[in-house]
Amino acid sequence: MAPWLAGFVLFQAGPILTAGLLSFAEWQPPLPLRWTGLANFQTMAGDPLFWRTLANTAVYAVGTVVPGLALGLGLALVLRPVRRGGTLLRSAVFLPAIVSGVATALVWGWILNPRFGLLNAILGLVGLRGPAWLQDPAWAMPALIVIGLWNVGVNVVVYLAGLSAVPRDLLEAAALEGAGAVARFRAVTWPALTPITFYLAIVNAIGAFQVFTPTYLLTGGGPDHATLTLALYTYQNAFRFGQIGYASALALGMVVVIVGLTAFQFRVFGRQVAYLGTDS
Amino acid sequence: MAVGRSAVRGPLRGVLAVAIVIPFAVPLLWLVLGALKPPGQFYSAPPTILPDPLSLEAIQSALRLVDAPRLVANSLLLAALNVIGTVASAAVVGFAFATLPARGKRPLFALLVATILVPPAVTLIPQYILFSRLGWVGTYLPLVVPQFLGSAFAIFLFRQWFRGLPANLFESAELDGANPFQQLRYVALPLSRPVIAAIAVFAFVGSWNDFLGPLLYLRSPDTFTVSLGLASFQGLYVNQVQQSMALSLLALLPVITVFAIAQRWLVEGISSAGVRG
Repeated sequence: MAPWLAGFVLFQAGPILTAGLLSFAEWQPPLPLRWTGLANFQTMAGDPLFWRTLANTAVYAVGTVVPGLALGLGLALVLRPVRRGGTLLRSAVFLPAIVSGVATALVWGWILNPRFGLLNAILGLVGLRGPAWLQDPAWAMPALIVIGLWNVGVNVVVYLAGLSAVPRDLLEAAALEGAGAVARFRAVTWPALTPITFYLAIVNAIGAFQVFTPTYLLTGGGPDHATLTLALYTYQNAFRFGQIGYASALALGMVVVIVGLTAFQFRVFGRQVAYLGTDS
Repeated sequence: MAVGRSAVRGPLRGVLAVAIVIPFAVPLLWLVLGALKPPGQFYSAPPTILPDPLSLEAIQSALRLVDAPRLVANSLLLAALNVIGTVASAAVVGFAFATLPARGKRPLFALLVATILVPPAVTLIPQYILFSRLGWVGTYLPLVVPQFLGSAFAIFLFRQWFRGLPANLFESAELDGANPFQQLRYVALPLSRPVIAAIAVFAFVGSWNDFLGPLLYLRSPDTFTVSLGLASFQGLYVNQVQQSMALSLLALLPVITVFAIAQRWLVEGISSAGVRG
């Protein structure tokens, strides 16, 4: 246990404390550090870009997590009973999830390209003129959300595993009682899946609030700050503008949002989770 | 059998299944086809679907512009070190959490689970300051050393797995005079192949695909990983899309290969985390 404790102190606890401390300081290396109390947080409260990034990140999180859960479950339900070629189809859905963030961003950047992109070419076939997607302030965020949803394969795999753990005797009993497919899903399958859904909702939301690579590579936060996310803004402040103190305050703000959201999810949904005879 | 039965049946169901998979498969297929088209054909209007004729020109010219074998070697080295570090340290710590009687184990374990949930973004800046004070920026150390000190998620997985093994195995080994390290080495690990494989694959894929880490810590192009090299190539040669596509394939093939080999364990590993909670 000792190595983990050392690692924990060195790379987790220490940095978290340091981040907390640094957010009360102004520090633009190589200039000396100056303690400024709550100044960073006051700046944050009055920084329109911070509020913009918070709103953008929230839109991205809602836009990827909720449809991501629905898509994950829907795809799992459709793909699960497929026998012939089922493994191939399931792998095809999962594959994007292990593609590196850089390759994912580049591929989608080309697909969404207004000049030679595949998507607008397809839209052109049916007589539609597609927007400039990532260069269009109105369409850039929806485009990023679609890119995020391309990675839904992890959710599908977890739901597939969850479906195979749904108690079969309950389903058969329900069928004998004359319950139709929809009724069986609502009364048996869905309750059995609530722990997994809860787990995925929390993990996906935490991930969504830290989205970085696609915005960094594809839009740089633009156009017109439409895709500037908390993680990217924090990165820019720390490593572009050299505002270590302010960036630490932003990072702390991000943690507060994530922890708050997780606590909120536990409060609101935690109680609806049904644990069907699981050992923990 | 009854689980999946629904309103949609028979051939319709198959068509539906194929249709919903298309958006997931097309971008990657398009990438492969784009990399194999002769120069310029990628931009032709109306767009051609299949390469005509098949051409390796884009791949060859990409290899002339960037030292791809170097990038692959760097990424492989980092990934291998990450796999070894993660598995070795997490097995030891996970075993300690699972079997050793130690005071204060419970709050420590709660702390461990909590760190899984701490967003890496918080620790990013202080870690960077720490590593730059240590003089490690520009080296592989920041990308490797933390893994050798235990990754929380891997420790968690190992601990769950070891707790599922029959306790009397370890008791009888202890009676035979085996110390905890020997118990781990000769009793626990041989029974843990699926979880080791899952953690190794996670560590490999995580390291291979990592972008932010190399972006922050690597400075000289000959130390770049595939992901970072690909991003910087795209930045330098914005208009060489087909060459970028060829390099993207390079970034994909190893993870796809590893995934294909370890698929069984990977799925088992993910689902054991998700279902057992």
